[in-house]
Amino acid sequence: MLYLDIKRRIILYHFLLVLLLVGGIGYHQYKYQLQSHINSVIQYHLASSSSIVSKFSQAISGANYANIQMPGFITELKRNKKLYAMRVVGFSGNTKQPFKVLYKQLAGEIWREEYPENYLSDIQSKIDKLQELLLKKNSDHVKIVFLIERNQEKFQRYQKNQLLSENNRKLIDSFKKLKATFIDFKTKKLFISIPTDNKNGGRVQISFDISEIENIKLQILENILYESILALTLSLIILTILSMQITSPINKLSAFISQNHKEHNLSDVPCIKRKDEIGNLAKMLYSLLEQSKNYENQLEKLSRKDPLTGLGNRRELESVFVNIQQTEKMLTAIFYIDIDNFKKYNDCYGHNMGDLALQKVASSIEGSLQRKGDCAFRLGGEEFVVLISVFDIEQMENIGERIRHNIQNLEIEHKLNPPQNVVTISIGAYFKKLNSEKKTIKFLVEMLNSADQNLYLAKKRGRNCIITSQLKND
Amino acid sequence: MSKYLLALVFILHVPVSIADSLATFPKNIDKMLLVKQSVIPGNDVVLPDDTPLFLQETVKMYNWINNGKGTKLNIFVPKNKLDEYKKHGPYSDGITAIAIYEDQDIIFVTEHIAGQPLYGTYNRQGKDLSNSHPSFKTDTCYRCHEGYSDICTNGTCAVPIIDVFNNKIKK
Repeated sequence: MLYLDIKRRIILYHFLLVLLLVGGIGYHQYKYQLQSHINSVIQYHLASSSSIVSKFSQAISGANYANIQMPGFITELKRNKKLYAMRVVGFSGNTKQPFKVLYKQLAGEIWREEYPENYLSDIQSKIDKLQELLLKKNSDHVKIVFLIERNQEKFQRYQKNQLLSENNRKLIDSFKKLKATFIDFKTKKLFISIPTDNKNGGRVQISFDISEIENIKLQILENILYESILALTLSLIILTILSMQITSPINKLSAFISQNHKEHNLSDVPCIKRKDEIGNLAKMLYSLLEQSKNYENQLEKLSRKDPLTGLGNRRELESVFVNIQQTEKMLTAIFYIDIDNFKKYNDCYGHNMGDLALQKVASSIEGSLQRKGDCAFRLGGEEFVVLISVFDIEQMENIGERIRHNIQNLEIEHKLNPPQNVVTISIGAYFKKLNSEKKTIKFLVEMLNSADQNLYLAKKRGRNCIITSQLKND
Repeated sequence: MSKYLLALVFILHVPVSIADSLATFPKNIDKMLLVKQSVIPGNDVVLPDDTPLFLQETVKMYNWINNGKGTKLNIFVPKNKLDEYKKHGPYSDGITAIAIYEDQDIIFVTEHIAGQPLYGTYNRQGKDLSNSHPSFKTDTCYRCHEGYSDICTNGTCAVPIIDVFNNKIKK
């Protein structure tokens, strides 16, 4: 499945939305504009037909086929190039004779659609009668011939009209079906039906050629297409800018988060000055990182503390050692301290009392260190280390002696530690002048070993004492 | 027989669109009976809304008469055709009716042969006026009388103009 990043998804989804909207609006516009145009066309043709309706209203009223067949009127109809065909029906004003005529632009003629049943036989009878008169003596030949010709002309017109009606049967049928104004898009014809003004009613049904509607349709579609393309292009540009404005800060935040946690600098959190949702996100990230840093520091501190005594542990000792700051004249001294006969103390008083004694001893050692920079550590069991800076061995021994004395003065009962019968300590001390190259773990271990050897000597010498020395190879 | 008749028609052929009056000028106008009196209104008269369209057409065509002032119109019928006239035909041969525009001495003549009308336009002296104005032409007579077949029966009109103007003339 195709995966898209947020930026592309924002663009794609919004573009689809815009496409849907533009498409919907475009379709509505097309329908509306086309309908407006059609309405205008209908109104125009209705207005242009008013004189025709008036003329036919008069003709229907008097059942007058002659007036509407006048060349002037037909020329007027021919002038209307959009007029395709016309059918007029109604009833005369006096005798209510049915009146039906048809007009077709291509034929260029108006013709009577229906005749009374006996129309042809009546004419024939009149002709016969006139021909009989013509044979009589003293008959007025001019008048009779005129009348015969008029009737023959009517006869011929009847035949011609019948033929025209027969040839245009489909047209007549389509008009007969016409009930209201409508457009036949297939034939591109507009059919309108207008009531006449005469007394007994009638209708003028007209068919107009509206083939131009296709061009109008195309024109409207073209305009809407141009507008839609413009709208979509602008939307695409705006969407791209917008999506970049959204995703760019997210990417910055993401890049920041993906850094090594230890390299995170809280002052470098991006977008934190923004006042929008991205700004809020950045502020929350800042807060989260700050909390994380705090927890990390707490964990770091806890990992360097001895939970029983609260003194630093070996890790803290190493850290302090490598970072120790002192002047060139000063010496670095280490006391390796061990509680005397502490195993026996535990055996005698129990481990709980042993832990309590350890806490008291630790507190006493720490209390004995009064200068800034002097630190005490518990390495494990009953072993402690003190790291101090001194100017000379005498100062170092004074401090060591003070530690030892203070612990003895705690007077923690220890029956199995004769002859004091209280808790005492032995101290192996060692000192060294350090330069920056020697502030290493390796050198610390060497110093601790030396101090431990002195501690061993102190134990051997009877405990509750301090033995001092310097590295032999120094 | 009919072939000969058709040949005769051909020999005596006159165009259907004719120039002169076809109805004969009557010599005994004084002996005819006055059957109807009416008016052709002047060209400043507004017709009532319900005036039949045929009459509107007639007024439109003839209200130029007498310099646009209109005229009295009298209709006379020969004694022997009075009954036929009352029934609007069918008419026997001969002069059927004359209509006189009294204020300009114009006489419209309707004659029938074989039941079919012939028309003519003259002055009092019998001079043919059919070519003196388009509205006097015989063609015009036929177009109107035959055209308005709803009102004109057998070549004479059923609705006298004066009926329309009974207390309805708007001026």
